[in-house]
Amino acid sequence: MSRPTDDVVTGVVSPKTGQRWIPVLGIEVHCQLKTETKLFSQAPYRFGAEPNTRITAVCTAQPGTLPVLNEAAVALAVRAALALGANVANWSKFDRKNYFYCDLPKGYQITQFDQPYCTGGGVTLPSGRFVRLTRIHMEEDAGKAIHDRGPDTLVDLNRAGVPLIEIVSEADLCSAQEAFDYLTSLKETLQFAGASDCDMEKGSLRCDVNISVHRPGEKWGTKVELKNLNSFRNVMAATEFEILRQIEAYESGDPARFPVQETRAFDAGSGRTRTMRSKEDAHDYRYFPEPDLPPLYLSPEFLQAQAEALPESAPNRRQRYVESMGLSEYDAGVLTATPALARWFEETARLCGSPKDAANWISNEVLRALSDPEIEARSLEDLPVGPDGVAELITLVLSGRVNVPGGREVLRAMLKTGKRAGALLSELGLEQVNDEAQLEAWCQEALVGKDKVIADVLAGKDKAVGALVGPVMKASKGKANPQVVTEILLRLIRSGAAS
Amino acid sequence: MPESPVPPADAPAPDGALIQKTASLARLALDPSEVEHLVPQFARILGSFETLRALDTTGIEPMTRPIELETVQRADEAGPCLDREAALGLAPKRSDEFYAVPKTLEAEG
Repeated sequence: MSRPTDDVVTGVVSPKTGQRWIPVLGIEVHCQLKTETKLFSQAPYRFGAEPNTRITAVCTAQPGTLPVLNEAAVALAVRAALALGANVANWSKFDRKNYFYCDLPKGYQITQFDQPYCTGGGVTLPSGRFVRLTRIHMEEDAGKAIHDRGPDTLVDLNRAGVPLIEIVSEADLCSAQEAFDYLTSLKETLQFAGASDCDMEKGSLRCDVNISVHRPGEKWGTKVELKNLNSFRNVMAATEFEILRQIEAYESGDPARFPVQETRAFDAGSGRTRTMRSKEDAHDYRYFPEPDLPPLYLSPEFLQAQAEALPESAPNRRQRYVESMGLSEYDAGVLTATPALARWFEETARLCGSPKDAANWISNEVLRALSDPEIEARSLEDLPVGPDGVAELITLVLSGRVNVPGGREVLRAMLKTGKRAGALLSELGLEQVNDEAQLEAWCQEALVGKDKVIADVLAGKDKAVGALVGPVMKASKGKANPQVVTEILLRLIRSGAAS
Repeated sequence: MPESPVPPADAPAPDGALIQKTASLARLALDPSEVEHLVPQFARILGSFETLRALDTTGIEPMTRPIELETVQRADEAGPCLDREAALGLAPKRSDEFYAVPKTLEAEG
């Protein structure tokens, strides 16, 4: 397992010269661990909280304070590592990364330098290719500096000290698409391991991409780091742009234009990358062991417990949905989009006893409701109805108390009002009519004057009766069971009662 | 992997320029007489590491601290936060609900 050799990499063809170039990409991901409190302080971080309200003496670096490690952060970091097939070290240590910036009140960040808690592991791309990880380490986040409001730089320390893991890949990636695929798979793994929400909009997943290009078989080019990539689409766009920019620079033949080792920012508006000027000494971090924190020892029992607590992965869930629940691969994919959705589906399936019906109702009706402006819910958690409510509705449909179109109407009302299916059924008058005499009367009515349909059915074309189901449904105000209506119509025609 | 924190064996002997650079990274203002005073001190400190480096440490695990300790961990339970007014009141300058510092754009081009 390693980076594929240049002769098998597709590479990128220069639009100017037609020459093939080989991009080399490595990605660093910062991922926020899903804890209640910060890595070294008891402040409960929440995205969107009022500025400087989630801070303690530790996060603001008051003199005399000491960091105390959050055990849940360690557990989640270990679960992330295990889900990525990495090796967890039985001891690791914390170090100080020293730099002066207003978002870092201590003047240093506590991170792990030469003895990270985790090495190795990897991510399998949809193409089947394995991308190796170099290492994962724990560290604390910095605060937020705001530069565009008034004459001063404004600082909010809510984020300062939030627990992160930094996941560093080997330079195994060969294209912008692979970078996108890598991030998509990594995010899924971290989410399903329960380690992180990986919500880029809330800053709980951030990534930097290192890029160089070279001609096949030649020495790798100079590495450029891309920052400011706030969506996976932007990663693709920025990477594509940067690969072509570097190719063009080399093909110009002018060494003054060749890529230099630097950090560049992506501007989503123009679709271009540009140099981020930083101070000369900005990267002289003078790491040294954090004297306030003794080494971290992880016992085999602790690691075993984390392995046992690791939730089922998305690929395993998809396989189980297809193989033992009889879902299509497509539905299995839809229902494992997020861990919350997968849990929702599994709970509904368990309660109604029919995974296939649960899959249909959730993927067709419940998910659609999340984009319905009349229903004020943007996530499953916001819905006034849980899996038990949907399972109750499915049970009513399966037992024939309401037909499918009526069920849809009930579900919509449930999602709007939060009421139970049973109550809405009578409230909306949608209880299915199974009274044979009533159904037969409606059918008789519908048959009047429909000699063509009758003749067709008698000639063996049963499907012709479909034209009469609609009028019966209409007469019943949608409450008839269409299957029973079809049966009655056919019986009436064949017995001659319709002629 | 990032570079090792231990200076390589062939690292240059400390001179005035190195002391000045290190001081500026630590935001320390040193006048020339202080630098002159510090050069031999740094040389002596680093020299003692040279003595250690001469020892054969093959197969010996690195020791990051002299006393064997294990870090303590705490439960992931929220504690009280600082009162914002009190916290901001300790800073030299504030602007509404933020700490205010001189405009520092580290990363703009």
